[in-house]
Amino acid sequence: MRCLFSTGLIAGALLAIAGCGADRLNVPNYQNPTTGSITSDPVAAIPLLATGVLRDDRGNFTGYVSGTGILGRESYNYTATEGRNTSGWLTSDVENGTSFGGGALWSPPFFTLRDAFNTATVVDAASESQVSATQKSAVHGFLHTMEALSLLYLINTRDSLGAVVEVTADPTKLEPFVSRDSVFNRIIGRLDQAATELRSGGASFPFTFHSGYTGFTTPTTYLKFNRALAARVNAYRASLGIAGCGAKFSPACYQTVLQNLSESFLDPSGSLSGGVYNVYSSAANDASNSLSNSATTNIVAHFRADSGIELRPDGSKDLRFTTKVFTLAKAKSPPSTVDAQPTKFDYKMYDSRSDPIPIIKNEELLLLRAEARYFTGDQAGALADINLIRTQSGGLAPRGAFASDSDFVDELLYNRRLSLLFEGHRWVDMRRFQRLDQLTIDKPSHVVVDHLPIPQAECLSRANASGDLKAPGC
Amino acid sequence: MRSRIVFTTLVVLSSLAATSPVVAQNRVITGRVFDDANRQGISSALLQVVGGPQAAQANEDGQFRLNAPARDVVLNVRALGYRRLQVRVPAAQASIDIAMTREALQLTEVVVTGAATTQERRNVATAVSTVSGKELADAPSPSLEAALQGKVVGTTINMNSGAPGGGGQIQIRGVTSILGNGQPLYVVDGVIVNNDAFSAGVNAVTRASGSGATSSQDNPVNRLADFNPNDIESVQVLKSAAASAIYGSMATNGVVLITTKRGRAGAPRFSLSQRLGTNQPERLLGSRHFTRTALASLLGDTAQARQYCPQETCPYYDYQGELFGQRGLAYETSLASSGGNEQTKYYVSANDKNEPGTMINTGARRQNLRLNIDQSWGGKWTANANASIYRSTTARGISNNDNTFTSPFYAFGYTPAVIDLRQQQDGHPIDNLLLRQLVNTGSNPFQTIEGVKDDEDVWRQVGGANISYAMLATQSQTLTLSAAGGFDRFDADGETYSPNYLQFEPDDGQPGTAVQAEALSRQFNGSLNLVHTYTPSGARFLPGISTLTTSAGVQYEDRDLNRYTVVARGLLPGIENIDQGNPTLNQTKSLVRNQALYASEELLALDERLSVSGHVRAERSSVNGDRNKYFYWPGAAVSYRLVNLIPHADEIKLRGSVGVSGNQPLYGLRDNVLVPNGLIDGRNAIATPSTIGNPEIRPEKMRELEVGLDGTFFDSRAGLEASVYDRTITDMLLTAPLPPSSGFSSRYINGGEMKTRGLELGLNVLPIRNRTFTWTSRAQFYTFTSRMVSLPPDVANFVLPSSGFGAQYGRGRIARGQKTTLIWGNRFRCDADAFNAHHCAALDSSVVDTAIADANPRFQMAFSNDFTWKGFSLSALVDWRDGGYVSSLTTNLFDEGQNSWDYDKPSPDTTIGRTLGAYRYKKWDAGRNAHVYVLDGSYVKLREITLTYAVPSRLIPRVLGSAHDARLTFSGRNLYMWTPFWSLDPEVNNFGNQNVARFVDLAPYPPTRTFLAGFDVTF
Repeated sequence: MRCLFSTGLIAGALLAIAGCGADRLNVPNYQNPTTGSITSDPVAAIPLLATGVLRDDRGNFTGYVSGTGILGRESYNYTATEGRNTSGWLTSDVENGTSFGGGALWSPPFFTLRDAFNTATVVDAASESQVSATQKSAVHGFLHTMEALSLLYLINTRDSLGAVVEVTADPTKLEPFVSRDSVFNRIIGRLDQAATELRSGGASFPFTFHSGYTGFTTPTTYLKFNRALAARVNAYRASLGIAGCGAKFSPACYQTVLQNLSESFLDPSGSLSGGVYNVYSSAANDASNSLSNSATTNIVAHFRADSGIELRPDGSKDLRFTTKVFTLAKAKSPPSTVDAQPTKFDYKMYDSRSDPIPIIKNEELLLLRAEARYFTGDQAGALADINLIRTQSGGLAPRGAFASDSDFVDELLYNRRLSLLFEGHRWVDMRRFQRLDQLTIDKPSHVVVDHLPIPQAECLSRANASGDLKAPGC
Repeated sequence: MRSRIVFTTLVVLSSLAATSPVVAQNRVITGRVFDDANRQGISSALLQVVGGPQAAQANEDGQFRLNAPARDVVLNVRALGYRRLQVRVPAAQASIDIAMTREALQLTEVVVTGAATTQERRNVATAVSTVSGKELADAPSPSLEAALQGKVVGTTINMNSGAPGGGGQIQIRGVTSILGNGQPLYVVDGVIVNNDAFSAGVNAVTRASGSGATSSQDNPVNRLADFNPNDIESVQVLKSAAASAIYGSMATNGVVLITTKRGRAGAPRFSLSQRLGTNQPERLLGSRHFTRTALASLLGDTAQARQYCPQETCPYYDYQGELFGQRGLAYETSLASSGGNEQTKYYVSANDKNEPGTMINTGARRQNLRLNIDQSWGGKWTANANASIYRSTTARGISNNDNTFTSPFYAFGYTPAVIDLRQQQDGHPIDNLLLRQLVNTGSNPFQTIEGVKDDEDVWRQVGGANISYAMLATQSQTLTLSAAGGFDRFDADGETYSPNYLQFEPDDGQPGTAVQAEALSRQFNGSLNLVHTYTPSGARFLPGISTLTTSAGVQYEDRDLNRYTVVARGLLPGIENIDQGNPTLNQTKSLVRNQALYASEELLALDERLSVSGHVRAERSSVNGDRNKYFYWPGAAVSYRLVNLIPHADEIKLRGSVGVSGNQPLYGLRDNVLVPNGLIDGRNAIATPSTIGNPEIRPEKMRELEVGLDGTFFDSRAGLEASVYDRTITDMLLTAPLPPSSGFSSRYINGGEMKTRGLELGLNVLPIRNRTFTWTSRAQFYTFTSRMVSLPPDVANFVLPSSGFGAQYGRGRIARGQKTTLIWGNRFRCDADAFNAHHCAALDSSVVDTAIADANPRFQMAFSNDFTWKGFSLSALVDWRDGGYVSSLTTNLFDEGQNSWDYDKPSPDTTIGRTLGAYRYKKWDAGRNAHVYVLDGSYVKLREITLTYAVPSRLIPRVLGSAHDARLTFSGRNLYMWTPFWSLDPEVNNFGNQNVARFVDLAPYPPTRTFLAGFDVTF
């Protein structure tokens, strides 16, 4: 009996010991701040979150430039240990959502959308004393602009397949796929909404931009960047004949491009390279320019980078070619593991790890104006803009009047190719002017595609979905 | 908190101390326990006074000294592998010789059944495998995993590579988890020890996965490698959930209980064991013997081919044979001493093991010291304390995947063996210009491995103590209170250095790479236990009951890990410090704390034929979403022995058990967080994580039903153990995919159901047993399948992250209704036969990503035979795996480099490729037909052979003076492998230890064959 009593006593003691140790289980998360600890102080959180959105955009960008560069026959990736960096983009594998190319450039824009969504939630929840209505408006203008830019990167790669355009509070809920035209209309809607918000955004943002935005760091000046993007998007809409903007190359749609440009940072007498950039650095925890020659020797220019280059009056090649492209004495062969052509050319515009890459620059705005002027009937204005670029950027002789629409498009695409070389434009431009068939097929195994497929992970997630929730082409 | 436990304990103890009766001890019984066939002493025979706490263990010669009451006593005598005996020793008799008979099953073995309780195997109602220290130490092994291969039925043990220092995976009864912990719980003398693996930072050089310091592809050593098999008395593997549930939510993967040797009363014994030997590669591949024509075609340059090959037949250099040609002196020295008296016993050991790698500049060394002490005070207090110190150093060079051609087999795959890469220039082997020409980059493995340092230096201390107090000890009842606790701490110091002069170093514009990769681990566990046994002398309480054991306890555990790495690039020549160049830093920390309460009941009844047990553990943990909630882990088991029921069947035990064990969430899954997103212009950024945390997260739950039969036949000459099990894992921890269009990749959830079913058979036979010759034979067989029964409705089937190299080579997928062990990859839609896909131009040649093979073997068997003839004994272990496919990227590398040894053999279809190698590569079609390089990994391996000669005792005094025992030993490990597998070793894995999808072969360190000779002497 005593034994049973003792047993009971000890068991009771053990239970008591266990009970009092509960607070020991409150162990912190050492790795990451909990959501609550950040969002409880919106004033401190907004700069961190806004910089996060800018960093997302930068994080996607080099992959976008090099990926679309391969598709547009601007570049190769010669990484010897991973032939799929080439075969996944250039062979029929690119049509498969499990390949290196086919599965690429889909998720990153949505990460930006998600971070923008979260930032907006924090901003909206902040009290007036923490973040004023004016500042909230400014932040929304910024977020909607970044969202539009991300959707543009997205639809540029999926084109006719369309895309998903929205993230919502419940990530398990599938959002519908919408058509290409709807995506473009969404983008322009976002940009226009952002413009309105920026106009009532007061004198400053409640966060600091990185140095790639120098000159565009107040709501008023950031609006010029927003309008520059609107000009690009409207030019795409005009050339594609997007529903809601008019027929292909319709003057009405191009008129809006001119309107957008007038509110942008376009400056015929300013530096052609003026604009907004993604910046890089080799500092710890920062990101370096992974396209730069110091970061990799595997990214090289396409073997026909010199085709059709015009000569200057002194017989030398177009200045844009000679300043951006390095000609090797002897052709560099691809590794035996890589299914590509040998090339004599390498890019030199991104020399160091901290060289910036333009998001949009004055030179593009002038070319957009040329395009818009031409298709709104202002041939002389278009010629003036083209010649400004030809002479100032290319060091070429000015040219005479355009003989035909196709003469203009040839001239425009030549200048866009060199002025915006390896900045993510070539493939998109060739597609919107229906000239993908003019891109080189380097090898029998290669194909030119007009869009990338929906990646496997998205397909699997929607395997049982129906209607517009189903992923096209899966 | 801690002091309160002690205080409470003392109060309880002192209140009871005065009340228990004292048992008199006033005589000593001495004697010898020996084998009745060959009359050799039985070491470690255990003698216990029936109805009393007194016990003693025999020494190596079988001699013992036992304190006993003055009255007539009955001794219970047990020894592993022998039939149990009860011997009566009258009060007047002071000495006794005891002869024991071998049995095929080790029924007398003591099996751990609870935190502080044990049972004889005869009565245990679950399948528990035991491996004795002798079986582990006979053929020295790089680590414990290797020593256990082929010895534990139902347990898949694979070494991750042949590199010195170990590194392997133990998976008990197949896949139990996808996201959660996938390795068994390792408990050494009651101390829960860490078996994580830490890379020394070689990823910074290989860039196998990004440019960070570490990746899962760095071939690290998991820390089980620190433990010295020579110190181990036995290893018990708790497989079923009913048995392992005593460890609650750390137990779904089974529990490996390691017990170290302890001192014995008697004159001090001193033993010395010395082994000397050498290592060599068990298997190398060789490469293509090029002709000038073939080389010209590869280089696209006839003139150059002429430079390399003056004649049509090119020179051939055996790169692999040379690089893996290191034959250093392998040695192992063990010293052990034990002794003491009935109150104080000690075991002290020291061990130094050196294992040169077969690859130049690689090797491993392990040193350790151990002190185990047992102390008793009077008849009531007993205590033991164990302390051990380990130092393990490894230099493992580079192997596995890389993106810089620094992994030797990777570089050899693409380098035609036509130039002598060992030629020196500027004091180092030359640059590999041939590879540079072919792939624009490259390295000369002779130069790289000579220059690169990938070193790990681990200092580890493990200590534990157990104190118990017999509060009550009568003929019919005992009540014991015990407190046990222990710690395991180590620092693993990883240093990687790649000097500036190496050929590949300038490629990233930052010559020279230095890495410091540190891991600091601290673990503690402690428990308080109360055990009551009731052994009625008559049937006065409950009829038929032999023993009733009740126990209860409380346990606390914590695990603290701090891991940080620094990578510096762009170094000053020759300087290894990390405070130069461009540094990048990384840190991960975790802390897990668990608290548990448990109770159990074990009943032996009906003349010890019926055994019934049940237990439950309640546990809460810092890793669960709800930290205050207790989760319950119950288990129950029953067995019944049929004695002499059928002719020649001495005893048949039928057993069945059901149990629920758990697997904890990982640290941090419970938290909704934002993640640091780096800097821009020095400004901090924060972003949403790609995987969403889950504040509701809870442990996985595994319910297992096991039934089995253990029988001994023909007068204990044959023993059969058979088990079937059915495990259902629910509430699975999953990284459930989210549509990428949601802006997330995945979220942590509990959900889905997996089922694993398996069969295990073990047959032990003693075919011959006489005075001069014994033959013991063991065979084991097991098979299992693991299937994903369901996933929650809102979770799509998904591809397992980092389970391979994409659809082009095959990787794992979690899909409803499908086996978890399948390899999924590309094949042509037109092809009816999944395993013989072909080009199909006219039909639908589009590619579909589907299941192409199963990585799980159809079955695995092992055969082990021991022969003893006079002083000689010979043992051999053969391991057979039937089936089990492997994604062999090694084969793909060599074919892509047009460099495989069989490249020029005849092609099965010359319309596809002119030669065999070309045919394979072409048929693979840049990964559109992944199955070509997913290869059958069946094997038969001769894992161990040991020959021992015991010097006859009459010769010993002449040669070794006072020695008691002397043996000469010759042993070999990994002697031969028969396999259809093309590459080096089908059991390796590029990604190291992995729950699911362990099937990637990519440029591994080749398997190592070891020969050792030596002697063991005991004084």
